[in-house]
Amino acid sequence: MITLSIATHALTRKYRTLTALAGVTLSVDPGSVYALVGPNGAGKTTLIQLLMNLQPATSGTAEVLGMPTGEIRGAVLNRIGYVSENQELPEWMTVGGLLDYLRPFYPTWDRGLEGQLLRDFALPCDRKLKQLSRGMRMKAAFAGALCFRPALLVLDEPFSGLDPLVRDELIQGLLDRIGETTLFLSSHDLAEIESFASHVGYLEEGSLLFSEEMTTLSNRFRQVQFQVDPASGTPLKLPAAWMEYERSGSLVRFTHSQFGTEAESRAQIATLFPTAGDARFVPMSLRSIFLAYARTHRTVRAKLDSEVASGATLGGKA
Amino acid sequence: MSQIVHIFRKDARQLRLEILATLTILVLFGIFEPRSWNDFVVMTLEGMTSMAFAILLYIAWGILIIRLIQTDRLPGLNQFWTTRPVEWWKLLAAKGLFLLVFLYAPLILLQMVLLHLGGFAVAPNLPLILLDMFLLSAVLVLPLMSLAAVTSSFGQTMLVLLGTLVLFVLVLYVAFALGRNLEPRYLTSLQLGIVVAILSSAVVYQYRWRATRNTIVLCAVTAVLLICTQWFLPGSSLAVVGYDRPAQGAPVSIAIYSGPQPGGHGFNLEKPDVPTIILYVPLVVSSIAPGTSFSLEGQRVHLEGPDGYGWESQWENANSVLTKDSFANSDGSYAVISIPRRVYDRLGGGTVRVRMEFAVAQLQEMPAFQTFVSAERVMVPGLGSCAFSKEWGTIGCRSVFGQPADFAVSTFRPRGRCEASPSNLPTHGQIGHVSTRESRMTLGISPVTVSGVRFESQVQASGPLCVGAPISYVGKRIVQRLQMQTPTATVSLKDLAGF
Repeated sequence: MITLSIATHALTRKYRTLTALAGVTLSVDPGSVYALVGPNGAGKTTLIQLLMNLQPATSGTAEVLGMPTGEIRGAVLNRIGYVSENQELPEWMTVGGLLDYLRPFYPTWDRGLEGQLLRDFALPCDRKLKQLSRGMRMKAAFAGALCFRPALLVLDEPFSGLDPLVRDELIQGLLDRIGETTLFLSSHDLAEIESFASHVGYLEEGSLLFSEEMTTLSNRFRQVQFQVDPASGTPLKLPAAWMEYERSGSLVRFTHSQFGTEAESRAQIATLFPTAGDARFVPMSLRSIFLAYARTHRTVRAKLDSEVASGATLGGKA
Repeated sequence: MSQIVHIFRKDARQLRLEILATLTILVLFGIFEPRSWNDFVVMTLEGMTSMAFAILLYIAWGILIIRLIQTDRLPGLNQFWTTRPVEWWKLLAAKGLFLLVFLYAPLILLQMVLLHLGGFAVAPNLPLILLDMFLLSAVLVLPLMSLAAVTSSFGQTMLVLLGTLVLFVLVLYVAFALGRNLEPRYLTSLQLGIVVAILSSAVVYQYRWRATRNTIVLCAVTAVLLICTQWFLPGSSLAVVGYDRPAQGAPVSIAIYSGPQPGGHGFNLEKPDVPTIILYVPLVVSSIAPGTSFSLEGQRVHLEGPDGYGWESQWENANSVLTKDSFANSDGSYAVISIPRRVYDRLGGGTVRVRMEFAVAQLQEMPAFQTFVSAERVMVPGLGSCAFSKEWGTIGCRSVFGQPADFAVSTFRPRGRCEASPSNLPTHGQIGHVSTRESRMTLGISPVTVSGVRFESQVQASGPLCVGAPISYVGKRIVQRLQMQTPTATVSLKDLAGF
């Protein structure tokens, strides 16, 4: 049986009244590139910190490279690389000094790869980290996390605030490692992620709304648009898989989140809208899917909150 | 081990300026300190310089310790080292190695050099040097390590340190306010034990778990325990733990003199706003064996009025020596006690039944060490090396760590100059005691304590000490500590008040 790179079950983290993670269950296959996406405050960093044993879970379990996260410390970390946008670096060190310092900690440190990364990233060995730009510091951190060829590389918002050139260089550095290293990264940079992630998970308000392969995700999402007779009505109940439904005169638009084939979808539309015609099914980018999910989730949440509030008012009056 | 050395090297590189500063100050202290050893009468510029370097050294060490811990800081989630294959115990060991190499080892080396320069053998005093390192750990290293381990930055540590110092001053104030109360002899050892045990556990715990909140609780528990021990133990019955009750045949007998009193002046009583009344209780001391003396270290008084109203004091300090056989002879021994004004007002009108308890140290004279007054250093057993100083006209002694035991010094002293003549016959007698010069402190950094003979001459001569004159040093050592009590006596408080 292949050991999963990451496996969590009902992982929960609470801070007094705030639930940062609510029963997250996910698995990451070895060699995959797993992108964790979600809006700010969704719990991405908390999940990563739990995986890295930087803070304990309130309940649930998590394993990294087959090991419970509570045991991830010391020598275990010579198989796991970690780079975070917030991580502090020993800024008094030079780039060369940083790599010299890190090298003895890792039995698998690859001097050849170190030289290659220094060249590829154009890192100045004799410059102190505190004298470098944010992008260069991030490159140094990447070099320090890649040179020992980790089995798992965990990246928390690695591209945040970087210019496109640096992003490309870093992504290229990661692409070169794909296969030998499992990548688990959180990011807002959906366009870049889409280019190389094999799996994606969507986290919102501490809950993992979906976690699947990128190809599956791309295949099941379509932007759908068709014309109807303006005089025709709208069915009272629409399929749950139809997100962001909107109708403007004769034009109907929605995001199909369970798209199978065009024929199946046309049949479904025809059942609900007998006058429908000229249906078009447009593949969606990860960014569009992300936005559709985020907007729908917020609308549903707002509706639920409003219902709860009105229920409470009625209850109060009763 | 290689990881420990690797982290150690990294810290040494990062903190090279701090290391350089501490070592420079240490060397400067080592240069100035021996020059101040002849200042056993007053403090000279060398003495003040040496003391200034001692204070600077503590500050430099403090900065070094805080910076050392915070180069790989513990609180928070974004530290660089926490996601690297660094074993917590190796990180802690690397910090320990750093302190050993750059703090303890240079200090031990300096102390060995100073001992050598002071004329003392180094090897026999190594245990005392190690004890001094333990004390340094308890008062400086461990408290600062714990503070640095639960704070994120140097500034934050300084703020917490400031708060801790304010707390410390408050504790000192409390200790001062309760200063009359007898402190248990074990109090300092107990407090040092608390600091070392809890704070070292806190540091290890924080490195192992990085549970900052819990570690702060451990540090707070230490502070609370220190305050509690300082607040509740002095003056309580626990203050006399270690003072045995004599089973039979007590080596001294103490009673309250209840004969005719010379009469009290009662000057305190004229001021109604005086909160306490001082009572001078005359004592009759008898059965003191030759060569033995008794030092009153603590006392407690029980008063009972004719109407059954009773009052009992706490155990108070008493620093006097029981020397006279009987109060009735001359200016005998007294117990000086203070009682609240309200108690005096309640009892002062008539006679009261008084009983006193004492915590007494029995001192035995050691065999006299006979030698001659000499400008060359002479090793006096139990005291240290002593020599006549022409500059100060008295004898200066150097001891290893701390104040020397009480030594009485006797010699011949002429009426005029040292040259013998029929009209200038020297008189023999005790000229004084060896006492450490006050206000000079090297904060445990120097192993050599200087002291001089303070003249308390009972010899009717005012001439100088003469080189070549026979001189004897008689030390006293405590042979046992006793808890004694007087029989109940009936006295009038008015006769004792303000006497």
